[in-house]
Amino acid sequence: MAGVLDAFRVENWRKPHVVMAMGKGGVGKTTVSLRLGLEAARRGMRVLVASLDPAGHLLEYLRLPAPLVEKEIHPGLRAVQFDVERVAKSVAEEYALLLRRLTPGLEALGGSDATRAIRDAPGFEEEVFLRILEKLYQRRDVDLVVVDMPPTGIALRVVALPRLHLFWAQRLREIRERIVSIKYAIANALGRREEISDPVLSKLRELEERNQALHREMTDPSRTSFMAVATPEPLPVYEVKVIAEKLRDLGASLEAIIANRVLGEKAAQLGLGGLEAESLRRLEVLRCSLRPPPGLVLIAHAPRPPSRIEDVEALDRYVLRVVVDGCGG
Amino acid sequence: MPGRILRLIRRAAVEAKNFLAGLHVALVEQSVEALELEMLELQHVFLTLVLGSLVGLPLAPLGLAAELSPLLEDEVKVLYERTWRGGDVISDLFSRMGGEW
Repeated sequence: MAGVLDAFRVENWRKPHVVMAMGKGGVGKTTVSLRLGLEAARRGMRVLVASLDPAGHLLEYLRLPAPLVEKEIHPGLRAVQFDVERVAKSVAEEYALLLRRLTPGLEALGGSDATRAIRDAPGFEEEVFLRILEKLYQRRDVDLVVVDMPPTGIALRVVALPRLHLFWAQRLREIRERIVSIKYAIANALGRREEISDPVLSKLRELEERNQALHREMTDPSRTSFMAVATPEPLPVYEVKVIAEKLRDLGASLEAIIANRVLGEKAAQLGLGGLEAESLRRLEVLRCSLRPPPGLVLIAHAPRPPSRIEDVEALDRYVLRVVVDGCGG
Repeated sequence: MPGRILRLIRRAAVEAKNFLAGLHVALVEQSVEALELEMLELQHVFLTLVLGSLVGLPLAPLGLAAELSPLLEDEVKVLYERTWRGGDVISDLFSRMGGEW
């Protein structure tokens, strides 16, 4: 029986492997992530499905007791919903505490205002997502982590962040090295013994190594796979194209495209036949324009929206087609 | 004879007046130069804070800055003191210039 997992080159995976599910909000990323996790667990892998989607569907879906609490929902399959708001708040408080110590002038703003100012700062949310991802990459107690990512824009910025951090860490390290060498030269001229070690320089080297490793892992297809989910409609399909292009810019590649909620014959009855056929054609054209071409899975529209793990198990009957070749070389 | 002495005194007075005027101009110019230097530095600080990201000085990502900041406590204090301690900036500058002012 064909499944979502068949669209991936599993034989090339190094464990633990990370699959990131991306796509427009509301296309079924959570359902497809759970489906992928379930299929991998059935093949004997130890799987964790982690949802970073602020919509928080996983909690309700799996009747999870609370955010950040991992629960085994099927033999070999665990799930956790990250409460990004809560994580963001605690990280913002941590930063605000640090800033208040550095710049006592901020006291005038009051504690909660400083926290809010940081919480709303551009780029802050991406930093929080990256922190969570970094921790997921460190997991060694599972074979596969399926990450249900937030909607496309923020997800792509998070994936790009290690490269940006790496760029900054390298430039700052170069400047810091100059500062340290001048300090050393002055001390030498004055006949003082100066320690060459500098904690800031050591930290910058650590940050450089950490971000380089994370960027390398995110762009290594044996360690990370990207899957784009779309319903057969113009905007979700367009977002798959945006995802593929951005990933190519970052040196990564899309490994699977999932066309979810395909209406098939019902589309014609609803007068949507042309629109759906054109959307699927565009996905196929996009797939064949990428090297290597990602796998394509078509999942039929279920009569009622999946909202329990049993519904995900029942998707066996709805996987219409899995295409992994056929792009004419 | 008394007329010659008078002329000499008058000339010495003029020279002394010119000398003092020159000294005054030199002192003013030196002070203005120091103030201009200080103003330029403050303008740089101000522009960096306000327009840093638009004039080719993009700011480091928040996460990176947060990880480095605990180690930069002393440096941050110096920066903030120089930026906000407006009244004392000139004395800071003069003491950096090394003289007994």
